[in-house]
Parts: sequence; C-alpha cells; structure tokens
Amino acid sequence: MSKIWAIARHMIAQGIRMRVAVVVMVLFVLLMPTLPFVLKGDGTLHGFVQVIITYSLTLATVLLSVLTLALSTGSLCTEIRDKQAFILDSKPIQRWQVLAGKWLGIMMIDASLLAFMGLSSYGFIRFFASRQGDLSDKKFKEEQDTLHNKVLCARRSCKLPVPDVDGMVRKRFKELKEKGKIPEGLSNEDALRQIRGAVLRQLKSVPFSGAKRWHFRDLPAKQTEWDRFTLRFKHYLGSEWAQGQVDGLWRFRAPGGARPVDVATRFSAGNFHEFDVPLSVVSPDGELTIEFRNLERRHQTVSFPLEDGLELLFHAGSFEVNFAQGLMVMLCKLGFLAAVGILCSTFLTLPVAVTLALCIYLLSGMSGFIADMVNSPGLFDSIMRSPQGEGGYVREIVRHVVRWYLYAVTVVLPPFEQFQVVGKLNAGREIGWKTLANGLFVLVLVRSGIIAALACFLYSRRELAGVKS
Amino acid sequence: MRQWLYIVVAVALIASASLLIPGVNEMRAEHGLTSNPVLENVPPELALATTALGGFRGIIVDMLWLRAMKLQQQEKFFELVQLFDWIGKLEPRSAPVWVFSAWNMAYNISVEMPTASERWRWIRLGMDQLRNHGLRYNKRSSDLYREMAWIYQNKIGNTVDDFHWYYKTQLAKEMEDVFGRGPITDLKPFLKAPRTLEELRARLDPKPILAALGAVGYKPLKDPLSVLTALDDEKSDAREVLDRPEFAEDRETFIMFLRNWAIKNVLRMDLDYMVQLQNEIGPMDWRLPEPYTLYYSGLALKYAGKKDFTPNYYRLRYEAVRRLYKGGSLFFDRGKGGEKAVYLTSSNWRFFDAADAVYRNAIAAEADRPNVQRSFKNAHATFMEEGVVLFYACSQVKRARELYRKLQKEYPNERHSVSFDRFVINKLIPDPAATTAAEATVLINGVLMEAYRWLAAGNDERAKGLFNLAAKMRRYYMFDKENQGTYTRRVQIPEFATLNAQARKKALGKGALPEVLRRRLMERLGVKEKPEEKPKKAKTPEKPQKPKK
Repeated sequence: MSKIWAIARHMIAQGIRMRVAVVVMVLFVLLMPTLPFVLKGDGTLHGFVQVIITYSLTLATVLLSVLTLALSTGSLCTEIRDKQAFILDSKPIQRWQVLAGKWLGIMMIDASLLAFMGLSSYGFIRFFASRQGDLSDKKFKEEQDTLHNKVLCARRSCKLPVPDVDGMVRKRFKELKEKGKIPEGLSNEDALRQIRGAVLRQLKSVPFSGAKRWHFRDLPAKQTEWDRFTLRFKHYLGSEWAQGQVDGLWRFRAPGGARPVDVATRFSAGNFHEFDVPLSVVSPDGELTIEFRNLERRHQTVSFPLEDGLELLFHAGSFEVNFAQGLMVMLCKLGFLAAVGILCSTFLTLPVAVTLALCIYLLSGMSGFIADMVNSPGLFDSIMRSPQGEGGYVREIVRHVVRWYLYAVTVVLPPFEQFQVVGKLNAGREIGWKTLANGLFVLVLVRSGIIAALACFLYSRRELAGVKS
Repeated sequence: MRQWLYIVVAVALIASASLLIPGVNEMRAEHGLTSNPVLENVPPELALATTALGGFRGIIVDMLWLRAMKLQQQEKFFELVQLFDWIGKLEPRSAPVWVFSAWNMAYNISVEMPTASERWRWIRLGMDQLRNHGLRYNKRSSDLYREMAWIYQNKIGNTVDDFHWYYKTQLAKEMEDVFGRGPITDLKPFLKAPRTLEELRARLDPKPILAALGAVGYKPLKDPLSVLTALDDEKSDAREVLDRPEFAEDRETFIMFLRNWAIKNVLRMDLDYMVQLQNEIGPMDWRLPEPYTLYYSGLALKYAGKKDFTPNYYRLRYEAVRRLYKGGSLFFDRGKGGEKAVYLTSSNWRFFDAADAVYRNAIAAEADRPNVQRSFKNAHATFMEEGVVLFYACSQVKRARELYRKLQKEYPNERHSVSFDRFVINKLIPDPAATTAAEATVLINGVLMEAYRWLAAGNDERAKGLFNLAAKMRRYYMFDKENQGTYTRRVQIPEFATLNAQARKKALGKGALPEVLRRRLMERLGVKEKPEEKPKKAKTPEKPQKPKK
C-alpha cells in the first residue's frame, strides 16, 4: 500500500508541477463570480438560483473533467515518452501498483478541487438565495417559500408503479376470446386496439362526479421533520390540448386512520400543479389513500397520465447533505474518467489517448439518448430510413448491425443518465445515499474496476523499451 | 523531395479550390446565405460569439437547441431564457431564430404555467426577446415586427387563452405606468416634452434631480419605470424627492422626460411613428393591445420585401382596427387595495371610417392576387354588416341606414336584400322560427343587461341604442311568430316594460356587474343601497324537560 501511496503522492506533485490543477482553479475563481452577471433566469428568484446551481456545477464538472483527462492521459504517456518510466520500471514496484497510485493521486486532486469548487458554489447559491426583503410582503414571502420548498431542499419522490397496460390488454383479450365475446369479423389487431383504449380509459379517466383512488404504501412519513408533504399532479380535460379549469375535490385518508382531509381545487388542465398536505394524513406505517372526485363544471371527463399523473414529494433531508451527495456522485464519474484516461495511456500516444478517452466519456454522457434510440424502434427506424424510402435486404442487415452495435455500446458504457445530479439538485430532488452507493458500485467498483484490470493487463504486457523504427 | 511534392500538391489544390469561390459565393447570395452587414454597437459577448467561435458556432447552437428542447419536454423552464438568449446571440441576424424563441416562450411555455401571473411573465419574456434583442439586431426584419403584432393581437387581444383578461389588464396597468394614469389617447404632450438628455438639459439642469433620486436608490435613466411606478405611492422615496419644493418647477418636465425615455428605452417604440399612426387611425387608447398590433404590423409592412407574404400583415391590420371600432373605448379601474381590476371595452364608432379605409387599402393592395382580394372583400362585407348593427346600437340610426345602403350597393346578395330593420334583427336573431320564447327572452335580456352596463360606464348613447334595439327585437320576434301561425300563449314573451324591469333589478343586484359599476349605476339611477337586514337572533329553544318518572 505504501508503494501505491508513494506513486499517488508523486502524482499529486506532478499535477501541481504540470500547473493544470492551478490553471483549472484559477479559471474557476475567475469565471465563477461572473456567472451571476452573465446568466439570466426566468425572472423569479428561485429560477435564478436554479440557473446558478446548474451553471456553477456544470462549470466545475467541465473544468475537472478537463483536468482529469489531462492528468490521467498525460502522466503515463509523458513518462513513457520521456523514458522516466524506465527508471520506475526497474524499481521493486509492480506495474499495476503504478497505475493504481496514479488513479489514487488523480482522485485526491479531483476531490480536493471539487471540495473547493463545491464550497464556493454553495456559498454563491446561499448568497443569492438570502436576498433581503420584507417578509410581510406577500410576493416576497411566496418567492422565499418556493425557493426553500422547491429548490433548496431534498424532496423524495414517491410514485405508484406504472401499470402493465400490455399485460392487462393481453389478459382481457384472452378472457374475452375464451368466452367467445369477440365479435366475428373483428380482427385480432382491431380487438386489441379497442381493448387497449378501454383499459387506458379505465386507468386514466375520471368521469364527471366519479372518483379515482390511489393507494400508497411505505411512505417515508416518519423520516421527515416537516409537518407536510407535497402532492404534484397533472390532469387533462378531454384531450391533451384542451384548455380550461378543472374543479375537483381531493380526499386524503390513512386507511382506518383519523379524519380525512379534504382539499377543493380549481386548477388549469394540462399543467403540473402542486399543493401541500398535512403529514398527519399518512398512517404511522406509511399508508395513504388519495381520492380525486371530478367536479368539472361542464361535466367533462378528467384524465391523469399514467407516468406523471400523480407524485408525492416528502422532505427527506437538508439541501446541504443533498449537495454533498451530489458532489460525491460527480467524483465517482471523474473516477471513471480517470480510469479510462489511464487505460488509454497504457497503449496509446498522448494525442490519441486524449481523443479516445474524451470520446468514451462523451458517449457515456449520451448513453441515455442512445439507449432511448435503440429501445424505441420508431425513432431508430426514422433515423435509419433512407430518403428514397425502404431499401433492400442489405439495408435491413445494416440496420440490424447498427442497432446491435448501439445496443452493445449502451451495455458497455456506464449509464451516466442515472447519475445526473445537477438536474436533481436544481429541482430540489433527493439524490440520496442509495444513488451514491449505486454510483460507487457501478461507476467506481464495477466499470472502473474492469477498465483498471484491462489497463493493468495491457500495461504489464507492454514492452516499454521496444525498438521502434 | 517527397515533402516538396506534398507542398506543390497542396498549393495546387488550394489554388483550384479558390477558383470555385466566385461560384460558391453566387450560390450563397442566391440562397440567402450571405452574411449581413456588420452589426453596430454590439455588446462584447455578441462580437466574441459571432467572430471568435468561427465554425464551432453552428455546433454550439445545435447543442444549445437540443438542450433547450430537452428541458422544455421535461418542463424545466427556468434555464430556457438563458439558452434562447445564447442561441439568439450566436445567430443574431437570423430572424427565424428570434421569432421561434419568442413564440415558444409566449405560447408553448406560457400555457404550461398554472397561474395567470406566471403565464404573463413568459409572454413578457417572449416579447422582450423580440423587442430588446431580435429587433435590435434586425431593425428591418418584417418577420420580427409581424411576430410582435401577432402576440399583441392573438395572445393578448384575442380570447384564445383562458387568462386573456389578465393579460389585457396587465398591459393596461403597465402602459399607465409608462404614459400616466387614465386614457392614453393624446400623445401631443409627449411630443412637446424633452425626449433626449440634451433636450432635457436645454430645459433644466437634471443633475440635482438625478442625484437626489440616486441617493434614495433609484436609477432613473437605467430603470425609468421604477420611478414612474413609484409616483402613485405617496410614501415612496421617489415621490418624496420629486415633491420637494426645490424641484417643483421642473417636476412635470422631468416626469414627462422619464415617460419619453421609457417609451424609447423600455418599450423601444418610436414616438413619431406612434403619433403618425394616431393621426391616421384616430385617438386610439394605448392601454389596449390593438394600437400595438397596428404599430408593429405597420412596420412589418414597411419593411416587407417581395418574398414576404404580406396578406397576413394586412389581415393583422384590418382585424386590429375592426376590434378598435368594436371595443376601442376602455373603462379601466386598476383596483386598489387588493380589489379586482375592472377592464371594460365598448365600441367606438369613431374608428369606423379609419377601419373602412384600412380594409379598402388592403383590397386595393392585393389587386394582383384575386383569391386574396376575394377573402379581403368577404371580410370587408362582414365588417360593414357588423357596422350597421353597431351604429344602430349606438343610436346612430341614420348612419346605420347609410352604411346599409352602401353595403347593398357594394356587396349585393340575398342577405342584404331585406329591409333595414329586418337586416338588423336578423343579425341578432338569425332564425326566429327555431328560436323558442325562452331563448328569445334570454337574448333580449342580454341586450338589456348590456344597456345597463354601458349606462353605468357613462356611455348613454350606447345604452339608449341598446334599449331601442331590445324593444325592437321583442317586437319583431312576436311579429314573426304571429306570421308563422305559431303564436299562442305558449310562445308569449313578457312585455318590454316587464323585461326591462327585470333586467334593471338584476343589474342593481349584487354580482351581475362589477361592484364599481354597480355603485355607479345606482348613482345614475338615483337608487340608494338598502341597509342589510341584520339577522334576527334565533330564539334558543327551551330545553326539553325530562319526563318525570
């Protein structure tokens, strides 16, 4: 371990000697204070704070990525090029220990700089959030409420799982077919389409004066110090494009619990809305039933989308802890980048290593987009379609090959989409220890571990003093 | 030797490529891809973005677009202003970019907001995008002027949005902040007032006032609206400063200068063109959205090239003047102390001639496009038909008759072949045979309620016309029913006096009219409010005695 530590210390010294770390820090110190002057929010205080969170952390990520890339690829490549590696190779130290030490050293530089940048960003965020004002002013109070309840917080999302519509349709179709209730002449395709429509109506729609219920279990009611939680929902009136106000009566009740709480609402259709509900409506074991009664004045049907229809948000900790968790997840990503950089430097020259490592890192950032493209055949086919229309079997083969190639890319590359912390921090959503542990396991232990093993294998087999023509 | 060969080949390739440049340039010019003239007075970040980034500009713009669209799909709107600002600044001379981002904010994003105030904020952001940036770098882009006109006409002036009344009210409030309280129909005082700092200096020494306002935290030249909005608040520091005796002489001149300064630097409008428009159309009230539609559509027409589809610009114009004569008089009460604002428009037949001229100009201008001209003529005929009813309702019966004769002459058809009175009634009750007594009573009652509304608002002329119209509607309806042989007691509707009394009682009752108007109506009719009866104390029932065992 002492050997790895010695290499790590040498890496830190090298990082300082290369001045990249200093340049990154100076750039951050110079750029960070300019952000509030060049950035524009949406005209609200919380919008501006959200923009500051987004861009300060993005700036930190970009600068640290550049630094990591420079150190991870530059260190070993230059040592090999300048033949310093020969001296190290003759010492009683394993090659894998050299690579591990370098990775550790880079991570220590990254961690200390990230801590500095995180603290600076946090200071800026708090400075802009603490705008002085008159609390008796209704508008100012509302702004402060929104800022502290929607942005500078850590809200845990609780949603019901999306029902398996396809499974329900198939089951219903089978039942009807067995009973012989599918009319003659109606094709299976049409029957399935009609059943699907009926199932979706049943799941989404609330007819006039009718009610829809949602039953939640295992809500984190006990874990929060707040005395309320937020209901976030979206509903439509008729079609998705119809405008209008929807009158409704919400009832919150713990099964077999105390008196229910009723909330009458009048909200516009097609938008997300939020309102707070006392936490006392949740039973001690975390159960809650929510009922919406449709009181629409023109007797129209109201519908809730399956995925975003209803969400409960519980305060699950402080913004500070959430922010720190976010920084640590960012560090996990940098760890992956450092491993990729070191891998590339074990068998490539500096420019090629930098380019390859950068490409892998960028592709990892796009892994969600690629996965979406592969998983939605319509989108993929529209991208792959030739302007002249359908091609022959060659085109089909190419299409399949490209699809499998992209699928392989999504499997090999780490799912960075799952670890997008900036989007969660600026929306006041909880990152949580689970995400952090997941990041450590997936990005550092598994992905970086595999890459490190590959790097060690390649580097241990490399002939450093090989004769080149 | 080999190196020299490479150099020779490279030079030959560059030289041959350069021969293609004139052809490429011609193609660029043909497809409108040539760069615009150099931007003047651009901010440093824009100069940097347009020159230093070179070819990377396109890639960055694409990335910003992708991010903006993704965030919009995820309903994360807070960052979009910034992204659209950058996109615009990376392509400052591309009008479609500014048009799209403004339209996106004013329409797509605004309707995603749950409350009226939030929607209005996004509409304002969209308009600011065009006004403060798009038009700054594309002063001669008819597309941008057309988009501004469209937002004023469609988003604010029309009823397409659930919260359109809120937008109209906010526009009126904001324009009163700039121009001063009350109707903004006379712009001459603004022409006489100083418009530039030099002109102000010629009239007074602004330094002491500016210094005094600066000492209490105001920056009048940077943010004139903060001073102008504070004028109404007697406790505000700005008011205290301007009410000081040493500024008494210069106060009004300075305030008028600030108003002109706000027109130029906040609204970014040209006062001379506003006055020109006022002279052309008539005394428009600039608290309404229509004058702004006319202003921007006028500029769109001015800068329209051969490729622009100008009929839409004409449509914007005649629709705006049509609305002006139908609702060009504004009764506006801002609502103090949390009271709701009252925004009530009434017809202003004085704009009729101007509107008619705009229609006729449009028809004449599109003489070479018969289809477009036909659609303009149809719109003109409808406009004249509405005019007949409106003049009638405004007690301008003679004018209405003249207009109807003109309509018969210019657009002869079956609808226009009936007598004058019958035509007016047909417009209000198009199918008497299919209209039940109850429906006819509701229609007449509606006209009477309108009459009381305008009586309350002080428009006696309009009220009188509407009373006459209601009486005539009843008479014609009964006549039609008798002639069709369907007159029985079943279709009898109450006498006009009864209908009028019912409408009067309803108008004076709470809830039918805004409270401000209801009180005005009571004053005008000499009716006093009845004191509310106190609820009598209910006697507590005696406790039932327990039956003795």
